[in-house]
Amino acid sequence: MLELCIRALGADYRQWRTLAKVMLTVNWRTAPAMQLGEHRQREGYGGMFVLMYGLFGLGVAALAAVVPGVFMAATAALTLVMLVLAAALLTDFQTVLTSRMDLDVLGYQPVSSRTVFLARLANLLVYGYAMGAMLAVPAIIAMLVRFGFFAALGWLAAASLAVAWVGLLAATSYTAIVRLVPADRLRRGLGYIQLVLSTLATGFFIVPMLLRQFDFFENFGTEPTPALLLYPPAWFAGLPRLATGSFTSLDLGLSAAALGSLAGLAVLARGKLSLAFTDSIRSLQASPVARPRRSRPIRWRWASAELRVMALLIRAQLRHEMRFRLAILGVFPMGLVMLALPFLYRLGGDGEGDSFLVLGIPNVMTILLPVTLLEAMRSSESYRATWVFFCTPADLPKLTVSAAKFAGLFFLLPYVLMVGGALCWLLGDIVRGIGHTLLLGVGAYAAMQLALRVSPWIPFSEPPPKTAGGRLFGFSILAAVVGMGVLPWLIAFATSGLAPFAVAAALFVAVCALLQRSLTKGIRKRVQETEFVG
Amino acid sequence: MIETRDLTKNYGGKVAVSGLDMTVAPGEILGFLGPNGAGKSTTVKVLTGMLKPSAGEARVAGFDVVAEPLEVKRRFGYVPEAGALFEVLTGSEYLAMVAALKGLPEEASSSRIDELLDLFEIGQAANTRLAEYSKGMKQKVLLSAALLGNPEVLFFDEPLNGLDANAAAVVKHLLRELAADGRTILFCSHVLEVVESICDRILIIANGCRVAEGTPTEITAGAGAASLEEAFAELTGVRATADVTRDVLAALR
Repeated sequence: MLELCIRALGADYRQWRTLAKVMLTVNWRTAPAMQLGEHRQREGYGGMFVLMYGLFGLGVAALAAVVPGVFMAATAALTLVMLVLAAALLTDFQTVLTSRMDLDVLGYQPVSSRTVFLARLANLLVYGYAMGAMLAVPAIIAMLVRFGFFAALGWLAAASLAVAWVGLLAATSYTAIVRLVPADRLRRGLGYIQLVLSTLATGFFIVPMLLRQFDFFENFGTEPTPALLLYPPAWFAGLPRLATGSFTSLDLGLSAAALGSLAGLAVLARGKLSLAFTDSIRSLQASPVARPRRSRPIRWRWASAELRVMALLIRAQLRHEMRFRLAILGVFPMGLVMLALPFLYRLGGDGEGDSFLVLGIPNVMTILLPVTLLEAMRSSESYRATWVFFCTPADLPKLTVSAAKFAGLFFLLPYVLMVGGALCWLLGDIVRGIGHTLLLGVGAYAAMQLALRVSPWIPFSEPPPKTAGGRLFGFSILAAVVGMGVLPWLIAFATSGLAPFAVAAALFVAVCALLQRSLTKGIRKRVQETEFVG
Repeated sequence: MIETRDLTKNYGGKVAVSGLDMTVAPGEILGFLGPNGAGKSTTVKVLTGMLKPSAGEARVAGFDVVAEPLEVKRRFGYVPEAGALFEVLTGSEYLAMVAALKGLPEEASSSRIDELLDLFEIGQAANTRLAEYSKGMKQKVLLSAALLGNPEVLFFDEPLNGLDANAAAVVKHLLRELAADGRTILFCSHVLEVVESICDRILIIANGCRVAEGTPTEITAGAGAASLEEAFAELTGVRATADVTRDVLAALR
């Protein structure tokens, strides 16, 4: 049957089957969804994929469960499904849409443009529906329980059509953008979309709080309005109401818009996924677009050679290695989200000023931030280039400590200052805020030194990890215990008067200085025993 | 001077190098040959301090690679086979980094870097990211980095990779001059003609063990072969070229 369909569409079935299989495999293995880098491993990857999209699926189900009325519930839930799916296709699975490799590999093979198009379309639908299923299936239960069997059936149809719609829209819009925007700039832009997405995922639990805080649901009705004809998720949300039999002419109009736009997109996509189109994209992007960028040399007379080397390397990595840049930048939105939490409580009038949320969460984040930064500096796509550290008389432990110093100076310090400003406002007491920040900053630096001592490494010398890392998870638990359980109590005592503060500050600084003094010596043996990986 | 005595390196249960004895005197170029997986790169990685030996002894420039690794690293330059570079850096940034790692004075190394880049005809690309360099240009950066500290020992692992004929001729000439100036050079390559033309002596290893050592003429004569290529095939246990060719052609029919 499938063979007949493919043949009827003018493609070679055997070639189509082979190409579809190869494309599915290649895209699965090269998708940067969880971890980037050539050392991405297959094992464990599928689990992470299911976990991430499964979590989003629970979010969709939560929306379907709380938003009033079948139409509005479906609209809200479909909005999230379509947004997440589009972002995933554009960032993690962009090779599903089009690949410049096609021409390199297939350009000289006896395969027609139409066969390539159909293989790519199959590829797109398989990935779209795999993600779509994880996003939309949990919401079926919410629909079933709240609105009945037919509404659930309608939701299934709506979600299925919406997934196809997003896939085709992503394909047509991405291929159109690729013609206009240089590939490297586009990749950078998509990287930032991924960053926003991960921030949204991190801060997702804040959304219901915000909605409740600002009485969001009370401002909306449950019936569709003509203005929603301009809102694509609402087009598909008309289908559950059609399925229940209780619908208006507006629901019919919305559903017609859904089906009409889907057909239009299918026609548009036909010309975009072919080999000929890939050829035209490649010829457009073949011209050199990279601007030669002059970077200022680092001439810090006060710094050691190791610190200068690390500054040069971290600066260049930050500018040019997307994985590293996202790892570093990704830490800050997470910190901001966590910092926003006590603010929201205070704005909502729920805060008690010194509650564990006001002080504990910023504490945890400030302790966790430098350790997360260090983890990002541990590995690199260019890990093989660290042979140069092993083959020169560079002091390897000093290189490691220099990376930590750089992180402390250029990443931790600005963050601590930001937290300090927020704490002064939250506590309503500048002196206490500054005292708290000072102790917190020194504590965070000490935590960084401690983390380095527990698990020392040579900067950028490890291949990118395949999972988020057990080390970080373990440290997060520790940071939560210390940040929420010990530090608020300790800092509250220290900031209760001038004398306790002086004692605590002296103690913190002394511990930090002692750790710093012994750090190079403490990690020397283990760092020097490290062998080159490559 | 490069010396190894009973050098052994194991990866888990697999023996990569087994009891290797080797000596390279100052002013000498030793061609270090072997088929793929013979243990050449592992030996060089041990000598350059990237890997720790499992047993035996290795000394470079008179210093033990395990006991005094920093003294060793101050005295050699290395062009690795894979040639990995931090491609996010520009050519001059990379060399500045190597100079800092080698502990060279900043002012002096800065002019040396410019000079080397110009001599290797990549001066115009000094401020371009290494990611945009061609393979030959990257190789020139690696050669410049190896020569930066004016080292007394040089390890070259396929140093002519990607170089055009003119640049390759310059490097071959340079190697002979460096040896004549008293440097100790270990030269790994699969191109036997190049090895034969520039090396004073050759050491062939297979399966981690030494199988032959001597001048190209001695090795060829010792194996009873007509050329170094034939001697290499004979010594490393590879089937005769003609037999392999005949079987491949038969498989195609």
